Amino acid sequence: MRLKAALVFCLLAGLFVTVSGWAQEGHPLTGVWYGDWGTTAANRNHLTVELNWDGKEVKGLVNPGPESYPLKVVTLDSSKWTVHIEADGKDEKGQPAHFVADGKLENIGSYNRTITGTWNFGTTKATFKLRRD
Amino acid sequence: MRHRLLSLCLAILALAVITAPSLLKAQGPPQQAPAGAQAAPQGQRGGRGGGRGNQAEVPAKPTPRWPDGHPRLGAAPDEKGIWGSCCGSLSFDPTPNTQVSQNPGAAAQPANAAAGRGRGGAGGAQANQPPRTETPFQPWAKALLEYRRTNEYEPHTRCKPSGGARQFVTPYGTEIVEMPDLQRIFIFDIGGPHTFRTIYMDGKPHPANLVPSYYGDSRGHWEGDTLVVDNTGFNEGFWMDRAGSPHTEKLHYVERFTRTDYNTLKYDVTVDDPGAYTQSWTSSATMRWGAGQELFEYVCQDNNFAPVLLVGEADKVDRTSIIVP
Repeated sequence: MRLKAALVFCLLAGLFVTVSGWAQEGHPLTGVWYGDWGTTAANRNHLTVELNWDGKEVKGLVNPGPESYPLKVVTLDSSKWTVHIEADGKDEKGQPAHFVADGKLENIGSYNRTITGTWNFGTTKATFKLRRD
Repeated sequence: MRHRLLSLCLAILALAVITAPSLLKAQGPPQQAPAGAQAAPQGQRGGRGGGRGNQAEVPAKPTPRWPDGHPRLGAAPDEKGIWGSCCGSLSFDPTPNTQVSQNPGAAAQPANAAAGRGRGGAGGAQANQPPRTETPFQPWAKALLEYRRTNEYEPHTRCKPSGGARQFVTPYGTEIVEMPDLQRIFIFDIGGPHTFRTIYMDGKPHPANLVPSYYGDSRGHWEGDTLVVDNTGFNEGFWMDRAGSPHTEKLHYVERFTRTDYNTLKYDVTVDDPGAYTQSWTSSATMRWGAGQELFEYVCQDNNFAPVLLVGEADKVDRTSIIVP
């Protein structure tokens, strides 16, 4: 059983490495992004965002897995390299919340480019930072 | 003591004067640096795009042909030769109206300015397509191109394969090897990681569910004297041309190779990528035959200075290795 689990893990890990190696120079938002969001430097929540450009719009998913939720709006202003994201997800207490994030895309020429900005829901003001992997 | 100090100062000054020009040259603008720049043995480069040796062009002769009548795109059994090696391997200069270019969407120039003035000199490409500004970029693609112009950290310079039309822009030329028995044509380039692509001539369609790759999947057939190659299945790991034109995995393009005479290979390409462009567009180039030349061993990873030279305005570049990030 353990061997089987290990094999599945290796397969998934290998697939992930391969997939992440494909999309490196196309649309700047395409890829899997890791980071966190939170209201203070000490209070951080893990954040994984998967983004994909289909030729007309960017679609994505927050925290892929059983707790995932889709992004409703993702726009890139390439004149300023700013990103606007909206999604209906859950806050820190698991309550439904509408997130609005605005960030700045930086280090665009790097595989590991970043987006940093604000990650707000309701009256709560938070920040986020994502790094493309 | 004072005399010794004065002598020392003069010696340092003299040394600075002697070495300054070479230092300045080494710190020239990024676009001056050949992609994947590494020190090559004397006599092997033959200038930009040169292959081994640097021989004069053979006088014009008719297009060589196979027994079945098709034009021969590579060297005959009793000869050597590569394309684009003589005086420039289809190099690109983004300066409008002054330079030849071969890249899709490259800047236009007067028709009579096309031949012989590229970075590679004679044998450069001819662009007859809309100026770069008219290439139908999607907004993000145009913005990304502009970014790349000041941050030339191209995958090619990190020894990644150069797929698509970018293959013909790699330094040192390309070699076309036709193998009718196998129903395949190979195109070799060495300016990057010494790679090749295969054009299948067996009439079969592209496989379904292609895994995206640097060279994609190429399927060719003859239309008269023109080899028409349909390409798809590309990844996004390379720039589509030296200038930095973006593309996505939706990239599909059709190449047309016509050897109009012994020394000339006309190259036309139609680019279709709805992920990065609002419509399909075309570009043309002319490659020159480098008679007697052949590809040589070139290891991009050896002593590769390009990542340092081509960072441009980027304030930092993440990489796990100095050679291949």
